Amino acid sequence: MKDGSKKEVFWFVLLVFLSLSLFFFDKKGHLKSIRGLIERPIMTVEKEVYSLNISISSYLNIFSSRKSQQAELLRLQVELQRLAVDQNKLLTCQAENEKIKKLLGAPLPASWKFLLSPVAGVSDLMRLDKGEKAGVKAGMNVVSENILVGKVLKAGDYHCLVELPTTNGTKIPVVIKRPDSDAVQARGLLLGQYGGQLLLDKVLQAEDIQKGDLVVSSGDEDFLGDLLIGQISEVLGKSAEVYQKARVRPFLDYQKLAVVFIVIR
Amino acid sequence: MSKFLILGLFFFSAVLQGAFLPLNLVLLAVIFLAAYRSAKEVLLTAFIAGCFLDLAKGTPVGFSSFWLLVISFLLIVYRRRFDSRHPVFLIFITFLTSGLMNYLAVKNYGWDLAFILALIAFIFRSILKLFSLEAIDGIKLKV
Repeated sequence: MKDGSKKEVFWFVLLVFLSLSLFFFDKKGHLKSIRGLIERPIMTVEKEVYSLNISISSYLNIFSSRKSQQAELLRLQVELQRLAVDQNKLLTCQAENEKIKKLLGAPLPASWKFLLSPVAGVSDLMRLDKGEKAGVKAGMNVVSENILVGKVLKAGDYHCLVELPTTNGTKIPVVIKRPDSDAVQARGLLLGQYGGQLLLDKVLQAEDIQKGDLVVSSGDEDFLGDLLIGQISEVLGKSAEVYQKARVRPFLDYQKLAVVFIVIR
Repeated sequence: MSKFLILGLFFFSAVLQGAFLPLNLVLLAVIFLAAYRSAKEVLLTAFIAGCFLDLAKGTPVGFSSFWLLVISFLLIVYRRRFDSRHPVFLIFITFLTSGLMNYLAVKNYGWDLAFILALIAFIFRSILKLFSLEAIDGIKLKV
């Protein structure tokens, strides 16, 4: 029994030491090449699983709304006529093309350069299928048309992690605008909260914000300016505090994005 | 062969978690493994599963391995004296460790997800009990 316990402790200590060593070396960046090689097949599988998840979610949505059923059926019929085989790959290509067309029409500065990237997975952070080998660096912004998706947190050789506005702990300096005006109504800080929630904070009580106001990036703290993020859904009750708060509904469902663009400046 | 199946299960769970699933299935699998298999197998599997999870999620390799090793070792120590297969214990430990690992990953306990995972643990434990499928010291399944 004692020998058994000693063996258990030995294995535990050995594996903990190994884990901590791997953690240390990975943090320092010494494992980047090896990690990149091992991650490639994992990312391939992950991307397919994520695409399948989106397809299944879209399919299930058919049953949730009568109005969308006929439109969805018509769209699928048109697609089936055009596409012969490998529906998944063709859907991705079509989504990419539409995204590019929309991006060209979006009101973004002409000097910006974009790198198209498929989404490999979304949990608290978003994983993209592009990394340093493609020119991606930490701190770059990620957009979908003229809507902010997030900021690159970490870039490996072949993938990168993106911090979303809804990631717990994210703080984005924003300005508030009326939907029909370009004038800045207020300034604040958009906080990402657990569960995909967005909270607008640090808005002075003297400033007027209303339900329906647009929340736009201000251009501070490494975030590009004039990018839409969401819309105020509820102004939380005024109190004796210095700042007022509001709940914000994001424009994008980050869990359903298949393709995004990394801004390479 | 069963070892490869188990590792395959962990790999697939890690990929699911990396792609879209917020539930920590890898943790759940490690907890059940710790209740039913030998210590060495549990520790090695926890280490490898943690590496899979880190590679799938993009976190530094070794991060999940370390915490899964700690959890599985504590379970191994616990099962020397007490019944680690008791459903109440499994539910409780799943709930607690899920909250802990969620906090370490996203700085939020995520008690709702921990609750769902604990529920899954209860259902799975009930299935094992219902069909009298219980491992004997990690050697083979007894029906």
